[in-house]
Amino acid sequence: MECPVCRESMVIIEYESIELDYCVGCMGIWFDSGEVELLLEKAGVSVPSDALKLVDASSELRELSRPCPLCRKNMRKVSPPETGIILDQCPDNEGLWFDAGEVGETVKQMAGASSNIVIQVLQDFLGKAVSSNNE
Amino acid sequence: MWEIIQSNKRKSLLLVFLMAALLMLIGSTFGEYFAGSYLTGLFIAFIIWIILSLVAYFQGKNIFLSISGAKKISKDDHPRLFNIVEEMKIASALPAMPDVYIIDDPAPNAFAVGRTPEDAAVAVTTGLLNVLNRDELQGVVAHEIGHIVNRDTMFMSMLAIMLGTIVMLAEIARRSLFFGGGRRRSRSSSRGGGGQAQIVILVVGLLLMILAPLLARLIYLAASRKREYLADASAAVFTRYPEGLASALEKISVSPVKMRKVNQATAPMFIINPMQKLHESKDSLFSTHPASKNRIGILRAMAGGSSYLNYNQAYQSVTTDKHSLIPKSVLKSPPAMDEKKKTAEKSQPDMTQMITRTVMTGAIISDSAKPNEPENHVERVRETNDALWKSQGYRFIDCNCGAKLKVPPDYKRQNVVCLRCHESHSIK
Repeated sequence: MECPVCRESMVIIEYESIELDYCVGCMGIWFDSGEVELLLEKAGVSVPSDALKLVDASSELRELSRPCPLCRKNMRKVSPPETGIILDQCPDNEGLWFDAGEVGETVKQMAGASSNIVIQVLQDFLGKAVSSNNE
Repeated sequence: MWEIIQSNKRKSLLLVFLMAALLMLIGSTFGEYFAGSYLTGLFIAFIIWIILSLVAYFQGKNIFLSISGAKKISKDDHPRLFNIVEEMKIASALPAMPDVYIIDDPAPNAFAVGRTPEDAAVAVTTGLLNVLNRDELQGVVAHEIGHIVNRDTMFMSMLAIMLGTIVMLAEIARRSLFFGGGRRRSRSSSRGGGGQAQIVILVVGLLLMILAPLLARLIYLAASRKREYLADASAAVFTRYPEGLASALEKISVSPVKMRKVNQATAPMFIINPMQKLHESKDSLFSTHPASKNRIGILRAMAGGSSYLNYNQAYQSVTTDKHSLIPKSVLKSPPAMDEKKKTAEKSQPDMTQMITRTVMTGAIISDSAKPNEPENHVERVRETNDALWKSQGYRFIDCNCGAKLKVPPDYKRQNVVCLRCHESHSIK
């Protein structure tokens, strides 16, 4: 898979049976929908309400639209409510793209909502990455 | 078994010639109408038939594998699947280990191809590997190997290719008839005296062109349905655990996921028809596969035994078909089957047919339990995906922080930085 930002071939990282794709060039992360499903299944959560809730942020035109690494369609801008972070989501819901800074920011801002399983995993994955981003 | 193979071979050969006759009939009407001589059409049809037969015979396996997007895997890529295929190869006394292929498709399905048992392949989808446990996967693999052993695969692929051509030819003929093709000729003949003969030929030709594809499909489908039952019977004999396949069929048939790369010609090759509607509960004339309900019902009705005799009895009671599915000589010759069973199950040679299912389950599990058996769905998905990655040339690096990095073959950098711990790994 190609990184939607720098077009480099992305590396897959597996930890505790969950896979993420990331770009070594820009350290952005692709969270595949299939992986989110596996994650919910693994955690024994049946309702996907525990997954990351996102609101439309298409009015914010700070970033260029990027192609989904899977289906190549332009991704739409979404945002976790009241964070001001802008993520890219595939229009066919194949997955979610976090820029390098955005992951740390998301985890930091949403840390209060520790019940959220996606945040927990990101936190788990980025133990060091998050703290280094915060400095 | 020999009788099943023989009758299968005989019937299939007959079908191949029937197909040839159909093809030539179409060819001659086609030729009569357009070229003015049925011989020309006949000749062209014959040439096409020969070429097709040769292509189907020598290339059928590769054609099917490549149009379904199957990738060959090695033992290291998916040890569990390989191990199961090996077990079933021994149980079925297949002369050579079939090649193992994976199709990247979320819909659970499988098929087998191959001209001879020495040169065969089994292909399964990633969806199948993800949803089935070991016993179920074993049932499916045994079913596919049953197709190979019963010599279904070769004739199925030949017939599929021929069916495809007949349908295509008839379609061309139909279109050219309706949209102009032979108009000039029919006008000139209406001026002459032979008008009536022309009309008769036209009508016959039309009928043929409409009926041929239907007829061809019917023959094809009827043949492939019985093969499915037979392969199920073989699977029960090879695994000695009909419930494995039954529960696999149940899981596959209720899966809402549709296969991506599939068409009319390849559909009959799969263990469950990928194009069939979910709720079809009866064997209709047009289905390539028996209704899954029937297949599961028969396997579950086998009441503690796993022989051809048990399957035949269950078949007759579930489908209320008076005819025996399996030739009588096979049912009456327990020695041949005993021999097969001994190879199948090395540990308990004197097991009789009356053995209870629970004991058999135990035997299979203790026989085949391997240390790295994935415990749940998530782990199975990981295992399957890893097989896909490896078959695509990904390199695996274990990072000290406990993460596993999978580097794509077209990765350009000299080193990879781990996302979790930022450790840098160099790539040789």
